[in-house]
Amino acid sequence: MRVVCVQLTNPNTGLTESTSPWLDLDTEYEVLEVYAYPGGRIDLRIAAKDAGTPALFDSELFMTVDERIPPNWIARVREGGTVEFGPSTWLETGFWERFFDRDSAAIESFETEKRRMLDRDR
Amino acid sequence: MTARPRSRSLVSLLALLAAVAIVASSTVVASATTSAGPVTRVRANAHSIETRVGAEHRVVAGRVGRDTFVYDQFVSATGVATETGLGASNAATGPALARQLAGEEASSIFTSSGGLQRSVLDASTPLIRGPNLGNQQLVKTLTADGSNLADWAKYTTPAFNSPSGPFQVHFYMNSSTGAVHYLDDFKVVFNGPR
Repeated sequence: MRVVCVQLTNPNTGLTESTSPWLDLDTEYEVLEVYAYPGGRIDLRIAAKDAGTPALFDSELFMTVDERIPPNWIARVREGGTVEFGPSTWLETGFWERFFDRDSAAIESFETEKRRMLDRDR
Repeated sequence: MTARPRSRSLVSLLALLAAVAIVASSTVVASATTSAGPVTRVRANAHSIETRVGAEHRVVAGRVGRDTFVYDQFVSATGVATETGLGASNAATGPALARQLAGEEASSIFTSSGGLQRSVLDASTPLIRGPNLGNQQLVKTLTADGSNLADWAKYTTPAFNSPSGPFQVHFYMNSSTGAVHYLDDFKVVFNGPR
């Protein structure tokens, strides 16, 4: 699943910006995960333009350019009602905390699953 | 050799360390564990620092009551204060000035009380939303004031330069109130190859 960035709205200020440290307008990104929260917010996890930080961005910033669902995704409803789509290992509780703490197994899982998504799109 | 007033960057770093000292009182404020991996994690009660400078592991440790010791260790680990105060008259100081500029950039993101500047908070992006946090003790702490867990998230700042290389700061913030939780898992992460 690929999307193109169509607007840059700062999630903290709500202001529209012309540049961002994370995304570029009119640039395509691979969607790594999707989170739909009970309150209505939908986040896409995307490897940002900095050094590829897999961060969360409001789905309103994007439009779809490739609507195929990655073969390694599963869907899960978490306690509290959050609906998540992504690789099963990434949806395990605590995975992203381990990843951002540089846990080697989490990093390896991240790279493996991301490669599967990117390879399918080539 | 006369004592030279420390640069603004050092003042900010000292403020950060003072904040650590205040939180930690007379207890051990920093301890380090080194895993087999390339990252050294340092916890300093409220603050923790992960450093990776090339293949070299650096450890920050100390006790409150010996602030200069903690400070020196911190500076050594980050390299932020290295070479500050040098003049521009000698061409050989070029690399030192570059380090100084990187050091000033690194320290400029912090407030005098050790928090993050508002502009830095505004430029940050969420990494993990509250409902997806696995640390239940942290969840309990974040919501102890009755706030909604869905409003909390783990964030990262953009990358900033330091003499030891680019780094990001991870922290927890409430998107509804703007409150930042600095007392757990507030850390500097030096960017390594991903």
